Amino acid sequence: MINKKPSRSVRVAGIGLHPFGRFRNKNIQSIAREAVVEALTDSGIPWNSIQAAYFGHVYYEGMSMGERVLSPLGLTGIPIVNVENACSSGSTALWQAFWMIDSGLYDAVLVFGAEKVPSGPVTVTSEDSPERLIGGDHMMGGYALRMRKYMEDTGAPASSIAQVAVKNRSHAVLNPYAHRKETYTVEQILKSRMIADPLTLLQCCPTSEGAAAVVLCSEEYLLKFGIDKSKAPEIVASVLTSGDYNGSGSDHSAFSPYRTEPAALQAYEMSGIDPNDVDLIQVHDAATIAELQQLESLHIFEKGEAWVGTQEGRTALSGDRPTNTDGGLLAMGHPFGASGIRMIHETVMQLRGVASGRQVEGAHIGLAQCSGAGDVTTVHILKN
Amino acid sequence: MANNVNNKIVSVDPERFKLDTANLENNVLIGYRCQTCNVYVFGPSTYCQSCSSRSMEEVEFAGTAILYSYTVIHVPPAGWPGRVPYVLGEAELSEGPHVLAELIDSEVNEIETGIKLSLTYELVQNNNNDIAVYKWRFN
Repeated sequence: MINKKPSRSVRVAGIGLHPFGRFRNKNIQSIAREAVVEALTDSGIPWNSIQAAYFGHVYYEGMSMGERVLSPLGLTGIPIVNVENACSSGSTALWQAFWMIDSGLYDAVLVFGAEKVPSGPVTVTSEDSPERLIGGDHMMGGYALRMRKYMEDTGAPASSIAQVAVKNRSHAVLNPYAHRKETYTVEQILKSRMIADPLTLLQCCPTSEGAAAVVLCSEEYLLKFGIDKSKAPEIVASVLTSGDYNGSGSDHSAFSPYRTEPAALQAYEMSGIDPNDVDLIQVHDAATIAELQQLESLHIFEKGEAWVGTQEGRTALSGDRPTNTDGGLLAMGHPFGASGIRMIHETVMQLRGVASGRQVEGAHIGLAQCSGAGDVTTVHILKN
Repeated sequence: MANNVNNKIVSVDPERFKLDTANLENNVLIGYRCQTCNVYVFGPSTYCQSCSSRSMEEVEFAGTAILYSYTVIHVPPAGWPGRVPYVLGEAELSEGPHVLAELIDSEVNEIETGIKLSLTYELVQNNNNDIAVYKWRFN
């Protein structure tokens, strides 16, 4: 547990995003590079003033992928680190970069993430694992186990859980970066192809390709490069945790679904921010049920109550707890290494007031939560 | 399920499922019990998962459980050799740990959370081996 509070003001000075979708004619290096160049340009910090780079990425496509992405920018001799923590790879890279700046080691760091996720059910283990014969390693299967338990424990009807997908799809309609921009009714969501009962296809995030990047810098470098403070929100909490003993030995278990809670509590303690002060929330909605249980873990809603808040429209853009304002994983899609950084990109867009078509009015404090198999959780809080 | 009598039978995961090749009805799930805090763990446990004690005692689980939750997998991952769709059950062992495995030999309308389960197995053929995979069935 990190009980230390940040000792320096670390800012997000630049952001970049490659659209999420399917890009069969582009390799992952070029997809990642576009996001990186956009973030560097946005920050105004020249490439040769960046002091380190962290790259979040899961699937193996040969070694040293981060270096291969950055090589055409010119290898300047800085430390480059490739980071893997399943779906939290990007946000883990961010956590590393944040605390390195906080420690005083660096003043300007590039963080980026990219992925090409193939179609088909996602598993934690590889195809030669005994898990493939046992049948328990199925990411959406795990969410379905949790969904059934949640519905039995809370009385939440299937329609309320499906409403998460309706809402997130509606947020993405005007978002040019989203993989999926079509909207659906609750009935259409419930009638889509059954993946793992009761989870239907449209309640699961798409498998996608994409990249996101941010440039972090110290307050000193904001001044040095004349960066407008109002466009560079501060990261006031950065937390990474792994799971503790939950009696199941499986990430996919329905037992103990509130594994984000310890990270959330650390983040609120570290920043002095109360859950009620958070203006907008990005969470890891790999499936509809995931959004509900993450919001409860984050104390945005009481345990067992997030489905009611969703039904009442509180998590929509116009509600008091707007969640997944760009469409989340469900509509943006989920290129594993990119997602955690995409959440920061969206948070910064909102705090800058430039998230046109989906702007939350008066947004000052944004929270981003990302999960990964392992199980791993990150929570970041940004403020301007 | 017929197996080739010339094939060797091996466990899908010897750290979790111990076979009695003389009588496969006696296969057991295995794990550890912490002698300091009495927590049981399914599968390997170098230190206690709950209190980090190193005083761990190997155990064989009784093989009885209740169904904590379940799903029906309609789109299995590549490499799944079995029936489609299949029922994935999360069982809570009598000793405490949760174990995910396929639920077989049960009518769909009999399946609901809370039902009693007992341990069974199926054989999967793979080259010259028959692999015994642990499964649950409705009591």
